[in-house]
Amino acid sequence: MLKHILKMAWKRKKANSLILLELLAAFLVLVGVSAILLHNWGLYNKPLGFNYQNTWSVQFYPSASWEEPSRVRGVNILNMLSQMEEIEGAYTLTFSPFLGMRWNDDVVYKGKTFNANLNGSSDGAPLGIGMKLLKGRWFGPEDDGQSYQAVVINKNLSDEIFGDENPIGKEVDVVKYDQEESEVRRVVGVFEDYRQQGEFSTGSHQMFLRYDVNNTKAWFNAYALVMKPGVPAEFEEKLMSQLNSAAPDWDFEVQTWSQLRRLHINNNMKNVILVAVVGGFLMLMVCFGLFGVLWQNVTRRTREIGLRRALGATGANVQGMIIMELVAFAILAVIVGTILLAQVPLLGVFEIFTWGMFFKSVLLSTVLICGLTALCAFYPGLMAARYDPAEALHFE
Amino acid sequence: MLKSYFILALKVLKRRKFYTFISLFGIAFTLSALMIVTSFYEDMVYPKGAEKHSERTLTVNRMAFYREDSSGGYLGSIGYALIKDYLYKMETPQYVSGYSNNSTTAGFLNGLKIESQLKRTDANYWRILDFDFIEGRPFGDSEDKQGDYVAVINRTTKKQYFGQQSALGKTIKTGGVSYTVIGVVENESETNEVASADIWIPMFATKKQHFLTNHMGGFGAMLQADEASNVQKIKDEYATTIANYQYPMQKRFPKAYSNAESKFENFARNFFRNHTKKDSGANKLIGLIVLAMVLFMFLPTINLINLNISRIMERSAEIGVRKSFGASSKTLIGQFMVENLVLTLIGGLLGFVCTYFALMFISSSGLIAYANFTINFRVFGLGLLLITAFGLMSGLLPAIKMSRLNPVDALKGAI
Amino acid sequence: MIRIENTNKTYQTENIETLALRDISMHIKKGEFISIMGPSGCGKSTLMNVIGLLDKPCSGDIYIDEQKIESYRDKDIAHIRNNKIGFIFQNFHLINDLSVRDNVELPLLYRKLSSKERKRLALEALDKVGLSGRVDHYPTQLSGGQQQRVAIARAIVGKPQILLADEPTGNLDSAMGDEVMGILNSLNQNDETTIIMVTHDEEKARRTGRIVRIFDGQLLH
Repeated sequence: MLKHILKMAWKRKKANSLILLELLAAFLVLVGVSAILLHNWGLYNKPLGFNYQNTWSVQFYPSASWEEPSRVRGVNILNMLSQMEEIEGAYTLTFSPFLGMRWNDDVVYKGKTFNANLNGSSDGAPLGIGMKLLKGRWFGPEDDGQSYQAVVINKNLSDEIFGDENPIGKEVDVVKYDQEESEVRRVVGVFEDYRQQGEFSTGSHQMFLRYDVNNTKAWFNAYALVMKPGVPAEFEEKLMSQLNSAAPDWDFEVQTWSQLRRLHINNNMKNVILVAVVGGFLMLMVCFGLFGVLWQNVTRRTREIGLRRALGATGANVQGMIIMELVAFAILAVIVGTILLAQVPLLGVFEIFTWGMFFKSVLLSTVLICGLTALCAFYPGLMAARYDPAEALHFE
Repeated sequence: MLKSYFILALKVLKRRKFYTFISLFGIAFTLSALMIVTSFYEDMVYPKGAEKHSERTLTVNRMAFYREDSSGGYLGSIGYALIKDYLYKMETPQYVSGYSNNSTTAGFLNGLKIESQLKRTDANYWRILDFDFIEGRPFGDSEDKQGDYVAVINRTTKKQYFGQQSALGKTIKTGGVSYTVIGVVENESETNEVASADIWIPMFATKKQHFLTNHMGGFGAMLQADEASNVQKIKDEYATTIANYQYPMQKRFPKAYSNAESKFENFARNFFRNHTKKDSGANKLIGLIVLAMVLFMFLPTINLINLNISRIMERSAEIGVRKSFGASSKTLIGQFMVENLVLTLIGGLLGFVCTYFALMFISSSGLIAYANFTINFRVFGLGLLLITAFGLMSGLLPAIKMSRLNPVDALKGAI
Repeated sequence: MIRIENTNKTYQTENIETLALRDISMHIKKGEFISIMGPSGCGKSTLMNVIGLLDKPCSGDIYIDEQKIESYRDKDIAHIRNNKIGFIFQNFHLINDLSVRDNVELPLLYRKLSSKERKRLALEALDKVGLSGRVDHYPTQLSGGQQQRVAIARAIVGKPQILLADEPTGNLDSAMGDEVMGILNSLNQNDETTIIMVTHDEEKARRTGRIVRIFDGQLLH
């Protein structure tokens, strides 16, 4: 039966070439849309590497450029914050996640240069915000007064720089953009991840520098406050007034990480939703179109259908044939489309369209387009199944 | 003749309600999508509101300090030092204005947090941009230089803080600082990066003075020519300025790249992440947009062609009769094309209505703050052009196919 | 083989009720070759449709192969049509997009047969109508007589006991018509196939075993 349907479809390929073209275009659109959706869904589901739920960010802007009195004041404020009853832990953290800020610099190991996303924090911050340690240890007071300066890096960066080597205890040169000389840093630990750019960002190379706030050279401009569970949003006003009284001439900006995350997700979802809506409308239009074409097609083939019924086909046979014919076209379009699309990962045109993504999106789109075409053909097929064979045969 | 075609077309469409419906759906959807894109583009290239003189205004908002081998370094906004020491000294622009990027600031009113976008500007900002003042006035040079704590706020902020009353002379406290309100302006769409903010304060109304010597980040500038023909001169002078620009870290990052460009050129440069080339890539971007639109129209067009062919096949008997009674292929094609154009025109009208509502929805949904997209004559014209192209493209092939239909086959209808 | 008892059929079109068959009873024995004659619109085609189970009578009973047709459920009658009845039409009703062999195989698609078996049966049927040389041709490449012979091969490929032929020679010239009649006669004699043929042609009717005349939906005896 399948062979028969394929034979008929092949024989009528010229008359149906435009339907084939439409299905091909629809398939390509589906693959594009599903690749975008799958890509974002995959990113969204990857662990962030930290807890955003109870953490707040406080950025501050000193009234003049950074000097020793500012640092002392910053440390005093930090101490004041750690003693507030609502706050579980207060740390300095240069870049809170979801803000879209980044600081990229070069890390040199054995003459090879790698690019890393730098961040800096006081002792205890990584653990406090729920980051997961994989190897070694977090930096802490034991690094005070040592000959080296401690850093922790994420797994991505560790794999990139050290490969199979054990990264713990290795020393790298960090070249800061605003300094002439590079600094030697010692890796003391490897953590899972810290996706600073949020849920929709791709893998990055993270390095956390240890900032010893008591060092006279220390510089920092933001705090991360881990709240005790159940602290309400209204706490912000109290926090603000405390901060303002501690440093009346400084500017403070308080944001909860949950809030920042929501904004980040909203911003990214806008595009994803737009793609999904446009894709959905296009598919709806294609479905309507195919439905209309098939309806007419069935009417035109009334006598053929009547003949098949006379020769012993049941109504279900006829409906099955109408559906299978369109699905066969869809599969033909899928084959052509897959060959065309395979060029994309082959040539590496789009970064997100890897072979893995290619297979996933092609598979999903194939299922979708077969399902959609079967759905479009269902009613016209039913109509054909209901033809009265005696009348259909005499249909002129 | 045309009139009878037209009436006949309407009758046919009315009789075939299902086809008419699905065709109209496709046409209206496609054209709305294209028109929405067009009005976004329109809003960017020819903004309404305060940025309406954009054709003779250039903005500078990107600075790149790169290594000798252009392998990257700093990329971000310009610093105030560039504005102070170089841009204010430029000769070709009529006005030069520096402004800060927006920062989020929070005020509290009866325990409720109100977040606002704060922008610090000089006095020229108000000369270059054409704000619509509901009440009061902008701040001038002396207020800017003395750093008076005065503020211009937008309509929404005024409503949040003061409700229906006049805001003039009242105090607004945000970020722990109090300002006296001297003016209220209309909301500006978030898409107009330069003009959009909730609260504007003088550049020097701050205790933080270290921005004066900063070469990286936080600021933008506008350079306005007295007439559009002088824009190129400003671009050239800016290029010379950057060539002579002295900045810290010059030893490590000897290459400075920055351009004074129109809004669209800026957008194209950011889109292609092209910060070193002289050409902004604006033409390439236009080409890309047109290509994307054509590709987008591909699927709906084939869909409509398929539907049209079906529509013709269904009427093959009618066509057979007409042909055997002597109708020429030309008249048949004409009849069909008119039918299809009438269909696309109705679809296009529906598309306009959909676009209107969609834009209204986007503007009011807050997806883009203070957005105010409208269909203007240019969008309307382009829309009509698209409709006609769409109608001709989707109608021609089926019409030709119809005219070639053999009257005998058409009458008999083979299995 | 076929028994029709007190069968009535009416068509309802808007307000007019047309009586197509009036209380018809007839008995056709196995191996008979009968022709049905009558003017246009007399009910011949309706009778054929009722016998071929393409149409359901309003009242009365039909027996095919001694079995009463009780259920007109699509699946049941499709099965009977497929196994026991073969159809031949005036205008052949071949599918132009299928080759001669594929056309002949058509009824076998609705049985559970391997494609090898289908092919064997199709070639056998084509051999019987003398067209084994045209297996891979397409209907449009054949003459009218050849097309009708393909249609006959299609009708007999499933080895039905009954052949229903609705004016099989109506669209053919006399030479081709004779050829088709010859094949039908040999099928009737060699394979004991029961054949019911509708015709306008007195001369062709005389070459069958029995002539049944029908007028205004009634049998004339």
